[in-house]
Amino acid sequence: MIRFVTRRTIGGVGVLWGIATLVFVIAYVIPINPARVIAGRSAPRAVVESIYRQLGLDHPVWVQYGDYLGRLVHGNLGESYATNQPVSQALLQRLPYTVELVLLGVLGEVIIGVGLALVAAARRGSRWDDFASVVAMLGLTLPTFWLGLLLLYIFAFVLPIFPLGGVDQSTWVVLPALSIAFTGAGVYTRMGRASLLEALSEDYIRTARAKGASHRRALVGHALRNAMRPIVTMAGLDLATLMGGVLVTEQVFGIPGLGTLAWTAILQNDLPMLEGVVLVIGVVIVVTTILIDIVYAWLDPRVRVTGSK
Amino acid sequence: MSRWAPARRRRLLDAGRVLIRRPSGAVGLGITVALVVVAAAAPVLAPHSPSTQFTDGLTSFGAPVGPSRQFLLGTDALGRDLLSRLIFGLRNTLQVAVAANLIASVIGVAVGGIAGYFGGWLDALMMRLTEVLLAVPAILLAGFLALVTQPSPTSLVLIIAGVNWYYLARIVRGEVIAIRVREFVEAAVVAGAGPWRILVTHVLRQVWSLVFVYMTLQFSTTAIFVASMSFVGIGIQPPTPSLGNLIADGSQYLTSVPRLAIIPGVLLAVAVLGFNLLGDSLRDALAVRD
Repeated sequence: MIRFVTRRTIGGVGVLWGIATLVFVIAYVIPINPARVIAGRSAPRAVVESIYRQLGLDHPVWVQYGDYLGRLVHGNLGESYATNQPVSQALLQRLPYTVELVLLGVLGEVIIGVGLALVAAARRGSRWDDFASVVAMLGLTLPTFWLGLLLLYIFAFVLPIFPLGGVDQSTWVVLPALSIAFTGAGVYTRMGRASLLEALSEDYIRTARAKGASHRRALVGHALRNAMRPIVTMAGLDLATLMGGVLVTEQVFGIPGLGTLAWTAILQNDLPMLEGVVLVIGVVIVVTTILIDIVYAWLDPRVRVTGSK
Repeated sequence: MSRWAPARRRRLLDAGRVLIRRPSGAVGLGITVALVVVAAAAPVLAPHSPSTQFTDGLTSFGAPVGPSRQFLLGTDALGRDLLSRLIFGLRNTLQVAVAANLIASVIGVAVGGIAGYFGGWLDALMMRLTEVLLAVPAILLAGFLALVTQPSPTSLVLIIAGVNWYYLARIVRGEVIAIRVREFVEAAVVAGAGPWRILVTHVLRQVWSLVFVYMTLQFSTTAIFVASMSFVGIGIQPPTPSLGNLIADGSQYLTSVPRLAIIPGVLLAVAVLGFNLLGDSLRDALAVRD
């Protein structure tokens, strides 16, 4: 187990280094002169040049790359071109909103998805099964940000239950989390139904039923446990897509999280801020993936040995 | 059809028949064909120009006018005909989605095929690259790339293709690794065929149905992706209409004129539903496993 964790951690550090390098390469080829952005459009040439040297942009590319990695290792992400605020400080302020939304979104996604899968598998071929597949299809079909607007219109304007955007009221997270959960649940319903039905045809279910377990107990107590493994894997693989959905949804609801920070940074050519968002989200995804892998290996000892799934 | 027809063609026709016989397949195909026709014939079908601001398109208070005989779906906040903007928005969105999807598929098949067939350090390098890319949300990476390039339809297509090829690459690689060890590949090697020839004419030929199904399903994802990019301001740039920026513009008037945001979203959802139904049915008809 320790060897497995070590191996996965080294792999994760490798991926993070890859992301940092990717960000550096993209930033390096950007045709924008950061010194000009900082100094402003009308600043004299001499000022721009002195900022240029201050940023170390006159050094050869490998020196810049080395400095950049060195700064990252020390947690220094630079300062915003637009506000001069340290990027790490801005990220820390915004991160809690995004994290809360992601956690509740995932939770809702899995509850709705697995719930519908259970209903569908318990009464295969019935109206409930059809209902579950229609709901799953709807979820896969509706664009998350548009569903968000629709929920906002219905449950914040027509029926003023929730706030019309912003994070001032404690219920701000409900509608955005729902739109993420509903559109993400479809995949889990489909996959959960398939793996539940597969598990139900196994010998151990017949044994359990023969020993007197009820249909419900066989389904929830035995089949679901095995069907949960592909769902855990899916949740891990799905993280980047989910994060993308969250970033866009923040824009709909006016949530001051990492997404809003990123879209504003793009409009302002605020390169360090955008780099910071990419890196911090990369860290979140890589760390979560490793944690999921460890839980998975703990659930299923075969993974530890072969290292693959 | 003659029983001497090539097996491959027969298989295609059988798949087509299975596809149309299923209600979901027929509906998916119908929606897709209808939308493509509307998009292609946009200049003929649209009642007005999408960018003309009509003086009678706004009320005396400057608000959009509701549906009427002249403006079937009403006008937007600038007095432009919503139906015409919708038709052209669909056209622009589909154009970008189709082009990006095609390019992404070519890259995915090429990278996956080469990595899977040649193996070794090339495979290791390419797979590590996809792992890095998979750890960054595609839309965030697209935003990063949008900062680098001048906004234009071409750069937009390339950006979307650039952040959507790696899933397919990993799928194709897996398939190619399994096919590489089959007898007919060994036979081709013995017969003296070079590696590139074997890869293109023998190995990749086996994955076409998988790629085709993936592309159809990916089409709906790409359409949503294009719209999301417009929504956060990094996609098709106004005043050019797209389904995404129609929704984004409309969301400013959500509480006063909700149809401005809701109608384009319905059209986007119908399109995505059509592509999904078609892709699912194709997968079953061509018997491609997940």
